[in-house]
Amino acid sequence: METVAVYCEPKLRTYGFKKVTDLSLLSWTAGPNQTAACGLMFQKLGETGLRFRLVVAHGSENRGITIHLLLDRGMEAVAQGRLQGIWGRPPESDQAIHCLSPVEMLFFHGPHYGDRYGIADLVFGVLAHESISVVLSACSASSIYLVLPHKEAQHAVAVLSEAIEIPKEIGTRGKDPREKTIHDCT
Amino acid sequence: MPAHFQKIQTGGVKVSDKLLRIHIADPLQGEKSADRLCRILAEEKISIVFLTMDRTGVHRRTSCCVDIAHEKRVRALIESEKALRERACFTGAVGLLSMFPHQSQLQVLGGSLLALGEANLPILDLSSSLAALSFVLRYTDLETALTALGRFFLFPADPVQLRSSVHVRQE
Repeated sequence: METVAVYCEPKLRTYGFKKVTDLSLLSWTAGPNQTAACGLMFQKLGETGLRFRLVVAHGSENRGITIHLLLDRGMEAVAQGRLQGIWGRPPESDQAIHCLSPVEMLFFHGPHYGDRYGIADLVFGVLAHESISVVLSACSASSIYLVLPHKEAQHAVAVLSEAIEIPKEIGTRGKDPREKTIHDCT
Repeated sequence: MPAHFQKIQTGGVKVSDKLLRIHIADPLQGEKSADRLCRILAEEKISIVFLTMDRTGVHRRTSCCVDIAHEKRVRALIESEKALRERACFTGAVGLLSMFPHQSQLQVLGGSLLALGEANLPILDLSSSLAALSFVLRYTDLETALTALGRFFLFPADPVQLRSSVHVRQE
């Protein structure tokens, strides 16, 4: 069954718009057939109760995988130390764990974003026009996540508010009503 | 798998219809053809079902999935622009497998990577969203992936949840 929807919005409607600062982005590339090893590593790290804010990964043609794990900055040292201990690649290795910190994140959700055209173009177009660089982004289901350099999130909110509906007081550490136990480790 | 291992209960899993994956590697400096791709897809009223962008080394890499029904048109659009033609590559058919909720738990992320890795299934892309972990896999791997994930996770028995029967299209 197909439902045809028409959206008449002067500005793109959002809900659950959040800005989160003091985050750390850990990134590394695992070689061919090391996906399971990364899985084991996450399971061990998860035993500490540590949780992630965002994960994005890209596979490569040789079956390697580059993983980006966004965490609260307060967890950076613990996570990096444990990951390094388990992963065991020396810092000069091309599979070493890299850390970008601090970074900031904006995320928001909206009605049927994944079924609608033009959402990504609108958001990235506005940011590009203002020369705001995006470190990492993900548009999946009805969610959009933007990881931005330090002190760029507020600037991004200001320029995005011209094009999309953003509440005057946006959430920071507070929970989205739809979030359950997310981010409880902060 | 350890003897004491307990499967993790999930709320459900969904798989998409066939999608076309477009992968673009832009240099960090200079024109960003991925932005151009988003623009032409918007102009052609083609929805982006899934998109991730990262910066690795000297490249900004973008992966984007659209309904495979648009393949011919999307290939023609990309072919018509030099910068896009030189930087884009296609994978099709792919599918999106979304498992929820992840509740930001590394055990869920770890278990899913372990399951897919042990089954030797290449993960083309992965992203978390508010509730789900979504994997872009080769479409022909989706059934094997569900079986592999079933070794680590418990899914609701209701098969209706697997594929959405309602599709929303924007006019």
